[in-house]
Amino acid sequence: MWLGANMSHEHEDANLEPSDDVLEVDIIIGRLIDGEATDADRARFERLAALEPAAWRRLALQQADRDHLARAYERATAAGTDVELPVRAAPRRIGSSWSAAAAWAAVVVLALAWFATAQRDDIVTPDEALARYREAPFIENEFEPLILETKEFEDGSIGVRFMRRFEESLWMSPEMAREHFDRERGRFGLDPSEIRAEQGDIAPPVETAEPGL
Amino acid sequence: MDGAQTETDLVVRAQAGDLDAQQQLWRQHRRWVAAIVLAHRPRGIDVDDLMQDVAVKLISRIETLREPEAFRPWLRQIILNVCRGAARQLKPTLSLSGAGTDDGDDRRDAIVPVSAEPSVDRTVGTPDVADRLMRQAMTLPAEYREPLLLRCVRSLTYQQIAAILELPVTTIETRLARARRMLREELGDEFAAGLST
Repeated sequence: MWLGANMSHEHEDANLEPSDDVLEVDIIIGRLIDGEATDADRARFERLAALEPAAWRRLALQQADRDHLARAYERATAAGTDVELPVRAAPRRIGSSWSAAAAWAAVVVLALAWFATAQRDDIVTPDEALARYREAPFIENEFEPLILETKEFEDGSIGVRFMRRFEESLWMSPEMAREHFDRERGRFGLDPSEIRAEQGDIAPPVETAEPGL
Repeated sequence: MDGAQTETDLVVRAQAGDLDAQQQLWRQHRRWVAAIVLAHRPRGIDVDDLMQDVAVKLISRIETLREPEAFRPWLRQIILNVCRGAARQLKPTLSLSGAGTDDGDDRRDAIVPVSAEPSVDRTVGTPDVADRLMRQAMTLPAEYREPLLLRCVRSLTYQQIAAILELPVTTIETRLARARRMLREELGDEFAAGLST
């Protein structure tokens, strides 16, 4: 059976246009192993191989190379081909909007939309989950990763341990603040994600002259 | 309705903000996007990180595409820009570790090898044939590397590769033939054992 006998399309022009240093047979072999060969290509290869039997070996080698390379390619891009589109195109930056009630209202709307979308879609990889987290409306900024440690291994590879840093915002109702916020120490009694889950759809805070608690 | 028309319609819908069309468009094209990313990524940056950036750019800029029929070459240009941008950002990011300081001792290359090799299998001491071929492929000039990696994407025909790279099909064939010959000449009979003459 011919290698690459699956014909995906007919070439409009069966004539080959090999340039100076590319042999005609290389192009025909390429068509054969890529499933692009026409009947004319196969007939041509048979004629060439009859004159030079080594062409069969070249065909076999090229076929093997192609299969090996395709396998390596699959491995190298496995994670990349699972990447999904982000929920929103560009990260929203609300900046220093602590004093803007209107901005808070926008945050509420976007947060609800984000949660709804995040819960609807499947998250496949950690990087995908992180990408979605970056899009969340409570993310104010992301900082450059901070490299904590690099380590060289015996095989020459290098391990890098680093920290990713994000600036988040949240708000609490007066009742929640009394229950969960230690004003003196500036600490939460709950994890921020739990506070966000508990706050539900409470109204945005009223603008104050001193936004800090 | 032919395939090209369907794709153009999809692009137009995506430009209009149709989220389903955007998702469909991305899923249809991300396999070859990965090939271009792999061909042009800077050393030390993972394919999936760049893919994420490409996905963001695709959605945020698709409205700027003037000719929906030219979606593929447009997307390829986005990928190239993302890869170039990542290369520019590589140094400041790594400089946080103290490497590449003003003393002229640029140690970036000492950190980069974590993902510098094409193979994702970094646990094996001796690379297998596939890894060796991929490593060799990554040393080819970009004009050969790109079609060679695109050809690794199943179901991508010569004509589709030609459309992405905006080149004639005959040029794609010639470059593929040259690339494969260069690979084989570099590897010699190393991996030919077991093949009968």
